[in-house]
Amino acid sequence: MSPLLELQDITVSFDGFKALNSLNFSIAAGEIRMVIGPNGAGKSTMCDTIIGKVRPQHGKVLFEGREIQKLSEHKIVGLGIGRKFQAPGVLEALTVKENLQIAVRRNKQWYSSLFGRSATHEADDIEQVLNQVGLLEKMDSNASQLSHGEKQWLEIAMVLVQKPKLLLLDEPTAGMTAQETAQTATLLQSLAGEHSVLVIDHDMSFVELLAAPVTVLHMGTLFKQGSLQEIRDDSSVQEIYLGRAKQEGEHARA
Amino acid sequence: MIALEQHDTKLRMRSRGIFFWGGCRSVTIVFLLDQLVNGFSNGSILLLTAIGLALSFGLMRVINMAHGELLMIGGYVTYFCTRVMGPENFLWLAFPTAFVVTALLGVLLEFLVIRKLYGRTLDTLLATWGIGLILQQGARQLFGPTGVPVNAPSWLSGQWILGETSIPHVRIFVFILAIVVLLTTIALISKTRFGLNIRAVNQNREIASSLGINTKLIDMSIFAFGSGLAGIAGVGMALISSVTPTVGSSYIIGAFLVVMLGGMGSLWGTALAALLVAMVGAIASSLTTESLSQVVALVAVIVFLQLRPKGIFPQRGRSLEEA
Amino acid sequence: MLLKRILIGVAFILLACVPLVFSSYNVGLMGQFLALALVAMSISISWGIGGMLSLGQGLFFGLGGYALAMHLKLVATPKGELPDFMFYNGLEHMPWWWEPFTNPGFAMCAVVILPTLFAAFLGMVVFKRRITGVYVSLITQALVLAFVTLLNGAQPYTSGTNGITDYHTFLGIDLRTPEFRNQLYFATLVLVVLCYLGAKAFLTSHFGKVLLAIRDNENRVRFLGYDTSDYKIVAFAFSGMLAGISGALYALHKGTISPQMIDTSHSILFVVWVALAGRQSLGGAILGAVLVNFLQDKISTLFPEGWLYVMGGLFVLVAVYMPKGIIGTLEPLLSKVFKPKLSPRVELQKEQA
Ligand SMILES: Nc1ncnc2c1ncn2[C@@H]1O[C@H](COP(=O)(O)OP(=O)(O)OP(=O)(O)O)[C@@H](O)[C@H]1O
Ligand SMILES: [Mg+2]
Repeated sequence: MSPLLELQDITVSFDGFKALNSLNFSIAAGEIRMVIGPNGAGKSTMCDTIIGKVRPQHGKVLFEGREIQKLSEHKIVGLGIGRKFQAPGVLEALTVKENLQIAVRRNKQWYSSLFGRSATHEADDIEQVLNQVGLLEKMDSNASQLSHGEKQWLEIAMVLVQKPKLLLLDEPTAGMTAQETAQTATLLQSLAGEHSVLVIDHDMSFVELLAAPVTVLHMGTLFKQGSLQEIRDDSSVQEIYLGRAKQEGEHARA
Repeated sequence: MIALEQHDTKLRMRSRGIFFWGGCRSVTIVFLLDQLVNGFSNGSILLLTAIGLALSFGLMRVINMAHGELLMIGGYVTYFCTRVMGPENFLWLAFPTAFVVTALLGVLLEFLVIRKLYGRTLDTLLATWGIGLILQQGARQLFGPTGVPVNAPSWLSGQWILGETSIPHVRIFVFILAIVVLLTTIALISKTRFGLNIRAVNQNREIASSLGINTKLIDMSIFAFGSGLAGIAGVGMALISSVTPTVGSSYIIGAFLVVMLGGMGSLWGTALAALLVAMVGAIASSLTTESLSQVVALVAVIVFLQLRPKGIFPQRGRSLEEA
Repeated sequence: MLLKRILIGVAFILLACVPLVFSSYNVGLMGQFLALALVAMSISISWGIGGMLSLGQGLFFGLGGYALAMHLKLVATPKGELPDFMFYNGLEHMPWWWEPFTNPGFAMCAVVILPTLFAAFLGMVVFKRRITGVYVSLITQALVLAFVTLLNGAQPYTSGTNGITDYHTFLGIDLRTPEFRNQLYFATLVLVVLCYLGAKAFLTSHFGKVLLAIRDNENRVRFLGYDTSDYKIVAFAFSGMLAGISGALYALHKGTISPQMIDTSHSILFVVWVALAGRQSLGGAILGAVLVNFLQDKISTLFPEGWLYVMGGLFVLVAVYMPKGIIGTLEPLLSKVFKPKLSPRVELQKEQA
């Protein structure tokens, strides 16, 4: 089976600095994948490239076999890719419910927003997802009043409610309590099969909970890939996290 | 060019009769050269005005709409210097006085208004526009609406004959003035300790301040320096057109376009943009009327911004990203 | 919410009573202010809700105003003759693009369509290229300067700095009679109310929510799958349309339209009306326009030299001390008094560049 998403030989450079360097990566339909790597490894940049926020200088992004690296952002999202950003980005001017109403809309063209009515399933979808993330009571509060963890949940909900084929979650558990983190892991596991999920996280306990295959990025390239156990036992991975493999990495790059 | 002398415009309109679009005059080389010379000197004034704006916008994100009025005040200061020093030597007094007067006004402005509005660019725009209105009306009441003449000293009133055309010495002088001010400013920012502090504050305010740089003082001095440059620009402006209460507002919009075109804060970009805008205006005005050529220049800038929305030399850096 | 509705309803009813109480002159004046309230409303939509500060709203205002004034001028010109200013400027034939304005229907369509199309075009040029914030303001300001320069320069075709004047009949009615003043006043009021309701519907739709969200966090909305520039273009075009209607009404009330009424300083003055009353509130825009114009009328007759100082001071006051405007400042107080637990309004300062 061909993968749902495939990055082929992606290079992204900022003023000559290669944040991604000939990166190859793929994820299958229904799969959950953890992406880890030290700070500045290029994890967020990888998501940015998939979603069209950053354009690669070289390489292809294939989604369901179709090249998407030149499409505009809203079209990429429209194909079924949802993204949660690292910094919480809820719409603070609106209520929790309104945030989700904006996310849930199927037809996002301006004329539909202006003249169309909201589909009946939308309200149900919103309620369901609010239930999933436990924000049902806060439905009518302003998004700006939520706690940091709740904002994370809301953002996850905004991605979920779009029912994307692929979810990109950038550090979804940052600022969450241990319990909330566990809940997130359960939630994500329940998504597997139907959705593909790409999760970036530093929190090792979360990685353990999720127990998904792990991809390690380092200096903009794919460093290792394998089961959680394999990665954990790999000494080179430990080294890059401890920074000892710095020189080696630079050799590999050159 | 946006701020071509209005008198010229009117005279030319009248003498050429009434046809606005139709009169596609035959373009002689001499005429084109004349226009280019005009373009150069207008570009010089535009650049002088724009440098101060580029500083305050590029470094502080402050849109100072009263900058044009500081220019106007520089013009009136020049006029007073002619009264005090006589028609020959006034320039020696005018430059330092205009600089100091407008820089002090800049300090006052920063302290009373701008300082309260950091981070609120659009509010700054409105407030400084209001201040500009007040200054304009003040000038109108003090000096009358018609404006005062400043004649160039005799050592600048000659012409440089070049075949069939001639270039007035004042225009050369203004051009040199613009270059000198540009280079001085660039040197100040890239070569001095003060400039280093400015760049540090621009890149990361918190870190700079934790390193012991007085960021407020830096802000104030950038603003004061930019304002002082407006005064200098005013002296140059007074030499080639008459000083009226509204003369500043006729330059300000064009100057802002130049700053945008240059890349919002890049001084080299600003210089190139001023030259470009002036040349487009000059060439257009040799093909059509003055007023249409202004329109052409304005539209050309907007079209260019289509191609490069961040200007010729886009400024990078995280502090500049949001705007 | 309810309180607000009642207040606005009462305000409109009071406005409807104006002709019963005031002299014909003052009714005319009030009508002018109401016409201007529309352009204020247009700015409230594009700036307060959409976060796009146009300093060139005079451009759309002027397009609407000139489109109607051209028709009125043609009506005032005896058949077979040229409008007076064309004649004085030595034109021999009417320019082709003046011809269709003989038809009142065409002119009225042009009032609505021209500014809308132009605003949409400008919006495409600007927002598709992701030009935002203060760049938008400066570009629109430059454009209105270009427009005014064109109007001034093309004297034979536009009557230049004098503007279009000396027209007295509209659809066969004499504009100068007191009865017509009253009728025009009511017509204006009805139009303002309609535009207000239309704008409200526009903003309370899903579209309005998305627009508000774009103002606060455009990137977020874009990555939820919206083509945000489309939304901005449409809102900008809608705003341009309101400004155009405003200009046409104003030309009717004032009996003239000239470049001075739309130039850069006027265009930015429109913005201050809105800022003074509260940039996010449509009702506030109406209030601001009426209030400042009333002040201007009084002050400039008492101290002709003083108005510009007051106006300049107003800019500073609004920007420095009242960024939320009168409504934005009072609203939290009011809602505290009447409804102790209302969700706090969103911070206004978000839309800054
Ligand atoms: N817009 C940008 N301009 C310049 N450099 C950038 C930009 N975005 C990212 N970078 C650089 O690219 C590198 C990779 O950044 P990225 O955010 O992808 O790392 P990351 O793996 O997500 O790290 P973290 O764990 O800290 O989130 C970093 O060195 C960063 O400084
Ligand atoms: Mg990251």
